[in-house]
Amino acid sequence: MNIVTRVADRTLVFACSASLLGLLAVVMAGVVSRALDRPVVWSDELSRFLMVWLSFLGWTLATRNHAHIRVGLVLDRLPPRAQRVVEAAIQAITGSIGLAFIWYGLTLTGRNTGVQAVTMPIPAGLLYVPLIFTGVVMALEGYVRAWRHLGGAPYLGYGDGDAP
Amino acid sequence: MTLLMSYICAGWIVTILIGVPLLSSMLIASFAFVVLGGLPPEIIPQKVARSVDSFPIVAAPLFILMGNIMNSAGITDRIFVFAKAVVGWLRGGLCHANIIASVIFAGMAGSAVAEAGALGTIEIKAMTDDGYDPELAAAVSAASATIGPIIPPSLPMVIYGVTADVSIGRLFLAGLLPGLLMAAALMAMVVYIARKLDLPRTPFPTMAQVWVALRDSFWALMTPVVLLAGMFSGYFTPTEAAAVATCYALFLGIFVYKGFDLRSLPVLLRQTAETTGVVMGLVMAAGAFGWCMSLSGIPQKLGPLLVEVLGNPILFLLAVNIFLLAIGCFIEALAAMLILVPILAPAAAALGIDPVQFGVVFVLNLMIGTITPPVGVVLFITARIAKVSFEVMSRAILPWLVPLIFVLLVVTFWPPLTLTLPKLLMP
Repeated sequence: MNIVTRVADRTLVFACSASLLGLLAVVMAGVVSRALDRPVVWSDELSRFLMVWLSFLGWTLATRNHAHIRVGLVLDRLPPRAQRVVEAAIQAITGSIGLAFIWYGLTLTGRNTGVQAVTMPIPAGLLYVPLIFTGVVMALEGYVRAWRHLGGAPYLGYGDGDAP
Repeated sequence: MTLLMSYICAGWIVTILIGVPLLSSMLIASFAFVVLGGLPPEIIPQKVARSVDSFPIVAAPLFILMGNIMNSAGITDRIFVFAKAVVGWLRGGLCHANIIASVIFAGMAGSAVAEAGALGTIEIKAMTDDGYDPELAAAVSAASATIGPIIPPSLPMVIYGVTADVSIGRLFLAGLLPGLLMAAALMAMVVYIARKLDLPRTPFPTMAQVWVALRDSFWALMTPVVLLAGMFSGYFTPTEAAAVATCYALFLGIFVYKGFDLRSLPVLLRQTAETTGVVMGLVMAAGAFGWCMSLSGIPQKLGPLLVEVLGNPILFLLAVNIFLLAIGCFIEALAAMLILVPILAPAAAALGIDPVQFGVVFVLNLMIGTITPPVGVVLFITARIAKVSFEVMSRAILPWLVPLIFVLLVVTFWPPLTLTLPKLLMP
């Protein structure tokens, strides 16, 4: 299981880096091609696709690292047992949002697969694919953590994630 | 629908206070609205994805990447050393240098998150090494980071311009003088605090020392010139300026200063992606929640109601300031913008307030929101860098809010501060 998690995390980090570098390259391609008076038509649309992918991949990475911002005013002051129960509930809710993302991500991707992007020969459904993998990570992360907290694992607060 | 949304908003605030991540709390509220309102739930994931399917927002990760590259290449170091050579001899010199460096960096980066993450790391380390309290170092860095999106280029101004249909060029020009006034006001606060805490100063520099600092940082200091010249001559758009700035930082780091190690790139890309995920996650969830809000009819009712009840522009702007400062405590700035611009911008226009001035008021309010607890993103970042608790940071930032709120009031009640430059240069 550890090897699977490690490979998945490394793949996630690689995908994040690739989409970020891709985004930079595509935006620059738009600037340079315009300066050379041979503007490319796909740079705007492709950069928007990459932006959606990068945002979801970054969201997933932040989910793995528990880096999403939260307010600890109440939770940090509860007794340890109550903290575990509330945190388990919060994680279970996150997991359920993940399940909704998987289901509706599949629906939206399927529905838009036949529609082509305006300037590129790729299906518009690709825009919704990241909903599925973000949903998978949110669901796994949420339910596994909820289970651990109910089993006695302490609440450690903001940023107690496992990713590299 | 309006009543349903009112109940959901109350529940949403409760979930935030309980400790549900902000992102999840907005998604729960959005799903609750569509399910209880009898709408198809798949609208929410669709709105989430579509919220960042926008070209102007592409600048956000690129500004963050640029900041990280500048840090790793030692470019932010050079900027800080230059600022220290110019104002370090004043009492509390590193606080002054912190603010001057932020003004210079503001001309390169358009995001307070990028500025706090990049420059904040250097500034906080330099200040703590020199014996300053970490919470003071973090608080000055957080407060000065808010100058970033006021002085052009600015990501929030781009988002405001696109959402409210206002000229981004005019908004950029309008932010310049308020940004400089923010720096002056923060430096005045440093003078007061430095006397009170008897902060140290460095010896008065010789001309040779200033010359060396200027020579070492010259090409870094030229970044704002390159960006502004490129944008106003039409070679690239404000959004593309972020990509150009990133490439310029890479070029300086690899070829000019030779301080950038390409092997550090994977770590920088990972850090940038994670910060992007945190910020964009909030923007995406806010996109869905903002859509629910507009469907509930609250904006359509609230806008005219505000105009009718408040009646005159001064009262309206004052109420908007109080409202945005309060909202900024609970919602991330870009996210708040997506939800609130469609409500407030038409109401301001109906009262005859210049949309450019209103844009600066709006952005400045939300930037102050990034350093106010409990949901100040910039406060979170600087607290983590300085390794101080969020509670300690929340107290340390309080005195620094005073000069920023003073500038906000000047921007609100004295339109020439924002409108003179746009009228002069873009009539």
